[in-house]
Amino acid sequence: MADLGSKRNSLAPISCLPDEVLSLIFEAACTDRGSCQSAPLNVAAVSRAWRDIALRTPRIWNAITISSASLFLPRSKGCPLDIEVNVGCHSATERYFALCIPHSDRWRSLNIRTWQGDVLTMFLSARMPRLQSLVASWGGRNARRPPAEAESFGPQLSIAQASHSQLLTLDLDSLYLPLNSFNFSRLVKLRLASTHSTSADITPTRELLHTLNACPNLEVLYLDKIYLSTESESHLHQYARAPIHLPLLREASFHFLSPHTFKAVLTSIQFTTSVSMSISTNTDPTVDTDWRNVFPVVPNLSLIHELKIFLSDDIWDVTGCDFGGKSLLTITCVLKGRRGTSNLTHIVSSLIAFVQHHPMPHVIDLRIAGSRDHSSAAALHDFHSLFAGFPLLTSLTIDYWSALVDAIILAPGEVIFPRLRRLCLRWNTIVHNRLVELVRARNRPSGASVSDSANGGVPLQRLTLVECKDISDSLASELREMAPEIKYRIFAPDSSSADSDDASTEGDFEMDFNPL
Amino acid sequence: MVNLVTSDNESFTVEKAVASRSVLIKNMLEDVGESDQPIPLPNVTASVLKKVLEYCDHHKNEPMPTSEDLAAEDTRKRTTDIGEWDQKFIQVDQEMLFEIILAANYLDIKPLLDVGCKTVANMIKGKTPEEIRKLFNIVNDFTPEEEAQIKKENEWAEDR
Repeated sequence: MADLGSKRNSLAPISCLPDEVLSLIFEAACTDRGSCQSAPLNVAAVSRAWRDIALRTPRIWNAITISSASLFLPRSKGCPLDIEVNVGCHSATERYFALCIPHSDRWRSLNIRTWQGDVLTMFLSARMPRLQSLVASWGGRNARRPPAEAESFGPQLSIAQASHSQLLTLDLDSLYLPLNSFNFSRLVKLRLASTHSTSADITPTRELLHTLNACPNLEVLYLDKIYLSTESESHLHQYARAPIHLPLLREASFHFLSPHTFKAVLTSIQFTTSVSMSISTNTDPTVDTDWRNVFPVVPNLSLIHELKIFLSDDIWDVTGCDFGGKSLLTITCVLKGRRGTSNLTHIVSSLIAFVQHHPMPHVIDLRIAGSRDHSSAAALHDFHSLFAGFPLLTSLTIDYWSALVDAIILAPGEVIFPRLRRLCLRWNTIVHNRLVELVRARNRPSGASVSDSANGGVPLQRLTLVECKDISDSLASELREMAPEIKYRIFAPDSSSADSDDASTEGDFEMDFNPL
Repeated sequence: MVNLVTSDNESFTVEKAVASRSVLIKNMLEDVGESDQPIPLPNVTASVLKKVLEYCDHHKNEPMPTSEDLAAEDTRKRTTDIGEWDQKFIQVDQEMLFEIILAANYLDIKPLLDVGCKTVANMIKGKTPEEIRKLFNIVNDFTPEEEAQIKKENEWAEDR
């Protein structure tokens, strides 16, 4: 029966593919599988022919875990290995290590998560000359913060890791390892997160700067909550501020760093125009905060053409993109220890101060969103000073925030957004009369020249209203009569098309509908 | 221009840059030099070559993979990501998919072979052996003893 089945299988369409092609397919099917061990086992259990090919394809057996090691290691022949260590039982880990260590010269990646210092030392001390990726984190069940023993990894590692000239990725989470133990000449991605413990005699920021200086090929840098409370501001002067050149850097993320580490990194790296930077800070700014001191360097501000601003009770967030829509900058400012509506003025003031201290003069497309309507929360003059930072703006979208709409209703002699041509208001509580006032203020009444608006700026060309509940049905005809040169698009609150692309697209003026 | 003749005797005249996406044809052109002679492709039918040439034409301006690229692939982890255009291109029935893979293998068009293999791989991913058999019209041809051995092996590897 089995032989009959084999003959039938030889007639199946997929059997036209030669063995070497099926090998390639199996390899592709067994990549990106994370911790799932079943992919190679499944293809090897389909038929005799497939099993034969699978057992002759060593690369599908290279993801080694504590459960698969004894079966997969012999089948992986001499191909590079991806070793995963997620420590549960200590004795099982020792057996696992004993199985893996004879093959350490072909470890391609080591992904280790543990809360046992001796396990970490055991694996990291192995000789791994072909290691390309090291991902190590301190965690798991019963995990505590890395104890003092974390510091003892240093001397052993400095011997073991010295030859890691192949290392492309280093990712350390909740774990300090002495960075100067590594050879970073080929490193592409560096991620350090939640690192607190360091030796008392080390200034980790200086070590980090030295490390970055040794990473000429770095493309991705991710620093998150590192070195908090381990250095004082007084260390700053010790850092040589020689510029660090990272010509290939395309992603830089700095989240909740200590002020001195953050400043040192920002002022040392020579950022290119192609970098996409993401910053999160939970500093507690006041009205008088000098953002030039908090962020001494923010690269590529002058390249930002599209800007999205999100404001809520305890956070502001700005995302800037270049002319082609590529993200250049995301800054999230979380105000710690403050919550509630009373904090909103503080948030707005903080954002306005940031925009004043770090101008983005070439923004032409601005979207301001909130999590709900904050119509009574902020003083108009605040928004005026915010708007003054975008003199070239041609497109403005306001989600919620009717106070912002009030701020663009021009008083005689005022010039706000003199080039504004397209305005979109969504979920805004602006009332009928205010909107009429706005259009009248920005566009001369019918009969006057449309090229010469009330305050010297260009007149509006498009006005889109999406689900603004206080607008009456008669508005459209009233507006068309008053300013017929404007193209209007009005979507009522119950309009299903308001959620469609139709409402969100205005020619080359595109917005997405999801709140930031 | 290059003239290609398929197994079913259909002739295709294409730009040299398009035909040269195939390493096999590129080498033949280099060996033969300038010539008006048609190049026979006895392993490829017209319907398949048409699809293959559509792929080659779309990618004609992209750099050819170098030997260094291929060597690097051997040591780095691979992914099964497929570009947007390629995904649409490869949305064909199983029979045509296998024919394209065979043609890409014969003509030595590595990127197309990759797209085909990744597509079949994505069909396999996450499926049990029985589901894979059903997908590709394969029957279980293991003896009871072989099957017991496989089951034991797999349980041991997955559960510990």
